[in-house]
Amino acid sequence: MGYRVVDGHSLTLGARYGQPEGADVGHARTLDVSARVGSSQRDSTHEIRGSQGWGMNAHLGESLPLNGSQEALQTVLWAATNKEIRDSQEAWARVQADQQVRVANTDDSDDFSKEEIRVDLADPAALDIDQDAWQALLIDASTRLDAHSGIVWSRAYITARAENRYVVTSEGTSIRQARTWYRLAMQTWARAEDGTVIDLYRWTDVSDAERLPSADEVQTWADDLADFTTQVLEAGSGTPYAGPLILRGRAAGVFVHEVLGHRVEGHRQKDEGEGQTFKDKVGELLLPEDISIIDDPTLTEWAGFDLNGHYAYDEEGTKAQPAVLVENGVFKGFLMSRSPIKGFQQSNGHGRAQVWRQPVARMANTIVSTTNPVPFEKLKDQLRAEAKAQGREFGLIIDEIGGGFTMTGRVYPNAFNVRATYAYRVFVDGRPDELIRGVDLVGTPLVALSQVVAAGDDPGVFNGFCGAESGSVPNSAVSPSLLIRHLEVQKKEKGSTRPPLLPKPVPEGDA
Amino acid sequence: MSALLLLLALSAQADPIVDGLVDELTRSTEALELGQAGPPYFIAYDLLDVWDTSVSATLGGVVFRDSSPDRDLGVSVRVGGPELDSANFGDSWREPGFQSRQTVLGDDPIALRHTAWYITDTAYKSAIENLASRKAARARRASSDAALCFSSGEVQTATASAATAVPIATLEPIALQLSEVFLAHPNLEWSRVYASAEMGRRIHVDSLGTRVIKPVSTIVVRATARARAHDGSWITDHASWVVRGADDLAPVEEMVAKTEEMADRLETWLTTPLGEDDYVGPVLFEGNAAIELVRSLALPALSGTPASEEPPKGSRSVVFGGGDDTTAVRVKRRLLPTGFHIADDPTGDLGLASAYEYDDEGEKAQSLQLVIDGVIHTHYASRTPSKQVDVSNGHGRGDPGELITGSASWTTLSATKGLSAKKMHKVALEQAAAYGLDHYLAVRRIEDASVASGASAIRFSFNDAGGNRLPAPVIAVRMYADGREEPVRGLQFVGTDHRLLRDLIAAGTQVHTTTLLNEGRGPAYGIPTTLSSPNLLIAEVELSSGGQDGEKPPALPSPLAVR
Repeated sequence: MGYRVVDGHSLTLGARYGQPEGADVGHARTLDVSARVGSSQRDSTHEIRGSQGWGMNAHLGESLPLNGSQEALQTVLWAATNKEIRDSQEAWARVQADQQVRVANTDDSDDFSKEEIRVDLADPAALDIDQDAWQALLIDASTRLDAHSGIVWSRAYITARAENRYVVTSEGTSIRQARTWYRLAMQTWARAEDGTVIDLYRWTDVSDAERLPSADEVQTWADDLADFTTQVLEAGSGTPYAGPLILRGRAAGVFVHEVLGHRVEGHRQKDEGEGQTFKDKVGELLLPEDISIIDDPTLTEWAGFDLNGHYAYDEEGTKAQPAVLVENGVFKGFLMSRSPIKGFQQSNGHGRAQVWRQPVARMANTIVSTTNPVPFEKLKDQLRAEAKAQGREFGLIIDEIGGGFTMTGRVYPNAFNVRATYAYRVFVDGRPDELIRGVDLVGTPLVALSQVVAAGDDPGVFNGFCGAESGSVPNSAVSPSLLIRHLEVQKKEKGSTRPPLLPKPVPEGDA
Repeated sequence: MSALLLLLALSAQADPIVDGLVDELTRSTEALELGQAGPPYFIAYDLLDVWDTSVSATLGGVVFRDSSPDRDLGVSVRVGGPELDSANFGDSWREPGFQSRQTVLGDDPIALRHTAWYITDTAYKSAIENLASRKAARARRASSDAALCFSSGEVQTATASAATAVPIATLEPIALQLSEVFLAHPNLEWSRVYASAEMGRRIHVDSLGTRVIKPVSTIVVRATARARAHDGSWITDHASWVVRGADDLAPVEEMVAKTEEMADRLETWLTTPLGEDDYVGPVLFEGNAAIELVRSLALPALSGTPASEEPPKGSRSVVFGGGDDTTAVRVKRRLLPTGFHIADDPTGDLGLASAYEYDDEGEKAQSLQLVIDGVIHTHYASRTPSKQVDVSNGHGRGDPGELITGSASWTTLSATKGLSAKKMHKVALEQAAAYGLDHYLAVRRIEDASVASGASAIRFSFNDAGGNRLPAPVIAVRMYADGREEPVRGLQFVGTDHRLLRDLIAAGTQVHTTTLLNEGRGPAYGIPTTLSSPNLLIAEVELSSGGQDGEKPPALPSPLAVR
């Protein structure tokens, strides 16, 4: 049995159009109970093949009191434990029936690995931010964002969270780890004449408020974002394309996250509904020999940027460890939780979950590196050369992406979509680069990885949150720019609503 | 006097929020027009400008607390004309022509206008599309007998001060004290106390010239607990207070006592024997049960806002939530027997949380005689009329940016002649004898559908069990001629709807009054509503045991039991 508790203090300060939004201050303690019935070889969490397995990943959650007596806390735990045990007993009966009725699992590994018992109570975390100073900065930034007539709405905000995460198990593990997280973000939203929605988002995630941008940097951010939104509004639309392209650092990080990362999450290798793209690829060359990929939750920063995916212990109480995924181009292994797979019997500290979800193997800090970094301008020359060789008028640079998704199952195409916010056409004849909007990168994993030809010298850090069956977890994707010989770009969905009919209201005299 | 007038004039001018709304309203009314669609013929802004305070506690510990300002701006844009417009057609959940958004704090009218501008533009475009769909649907429909879409209203101007915020320090000790009650009740599996205050003002401005600023002032304290019997059946009960101001709250000792009473009631319920498999006969609804009877069966029958119109059968247009067959009973039809009446008066006691002088469309509140001698004379009506009631009667209530519907305020069911408790007992026994029974059932408390989560509660469902609209009894008692009382549990009403009210045969003399935050079905959804009723005796009600399909109680005793 295990209890996980997330005790989180949160704060959000925002401003729009030069006025404050209400400060949102919260404190919540959320409980997650997990109970395994059966044995470590086969237990109630085992995959139930067919529709009977739906909803197995969801746990009962309950809010715990923030103060008061221990018996009050115990009473809530008692009620939640009772419910979870009954759910697990019911699940165990189904697992046993599934094992009898259906063919043997192709991977007959145990359901729960034995790991070292850990006891480690870190000092608790607390929020530390000058609210008044930041509210003033946000108000100023929001005024700057709103200064352009084409921007329909905009927002500047800070959201902060101090979490103390507890894991206590019947094996004896008892952990408290602390985490603080601050995000400064600005968003603009506009609608082009053709109905396309321009939704630009700039943000930075740091672990300490002291590392947030300075007042001058905040102003510059706001001005640049407002100007750039106008540029994107006026940019032309992209067209479907297949050819060479460069993914700039952050975009390359997300590309690797979607194309490789989700497919090397250990539990997928024994889930028979999954595509298992890399299950039998250990030892095979996947990428150029100068490129390696690790996932390392123990790192707190990279190239001067804080990493969102840092933690000391995963949600199963296992100590965080670096996992080597690709070494010198060769595929080496998987991200592992305490769900063993053939050939990988132990967790490497990647069992992660949002509270109320059962942990599974997830990415943390996924880092792409190269032993042969190519300066970006040279990489761009290589792009032009590659485009010319393929008879193209231009190659593409994908500079910023808003996220992405991938399908890893067997029913639907095992494909990915990396959602570009904007891109540049880089012409082979040396014309100036052209800004375009409205394109997404699409492809399939093995083909896409085989087309990576070179990496830059400009590691970019993408901090965000990743959603999968165990919920939303913070993580980072780090990569230098990647030159890809051949990839497909498709049109992004486009809105059909007209831009607002009346101009934005402005103070009398400013009209 | 002149100094006072000057001050009032200054304060009237110095409300940048109202000025901002009016400026944007004026600009939108004058300039918003898209092609052949024509301009809106009506625009209204509703701003809920409040300070929300809420705290939730369990067993003496705080689970959640929040205290923050909030501003929600809603717009209603109508395109076409009062005879045929864009509102209340198609998907009722999407409500084309209506929009709302949380907006900024601060006094900058331009920032507020920014939100107003954006939601007005969005609402106007969706209203145009919806009007076109409605016209096409009407052209296809065989029947041309349609109600007016929007009734005319009188231009109103009123200004009132905002209600003052309630600090969390007022609510938290109450929530904690009430939640501590359950520490002494280990047999109750779950309990929670919730206290909240929404204080501030609501501003309504519209393109016809109405400018109404009214206070918003609601405090809710609710202690809820759940018990589960050994046979798996479970029940939820609550003790609630819905008042206008902090001074109106009962003394905390009294609230603790009522919470204790509720907890004891649930403990008693756990050991009460199960009721008979089937019961058909007279039922006396006492106190809270009479109030719930009125709430669940009478209020929906008096709803004057028609359901969202949908395309005629055969159309390929798919509509979600539209055309729902409302439970309203037509005007001039009988709802109750002769000698029973229903009235509503929003201004009857301005100290009630349910009271108002102007409704949420800026219409002046009116007192209504809804049912006279059993026959419906009018409905609760907003400015979206029905064929029955074609003009607002000042009962339009709802959230900003939604279709405002006709709703109850302080509704009273009364009888021309009330019977003493002794006489009611005698009449009930006589009635029982006609069914071959030596007893009748008295229902003293009914679950509140909006707080109950047990199997016995009525929940929103595509399969509403046999049209049953009355939640399960918490306390039902067999009443015998010799004065014996035998409590029973596990009973559920069968097939109850407004027609049950026609079997009303007697009412008591003592009137019970409760203000509740009506979150159940019916026209008072989510709105402070006061209900008054005497005890009510219904000649024939069907109840059965069943629906007791819950889990066993926990294997281990509660930590509270072993301390």
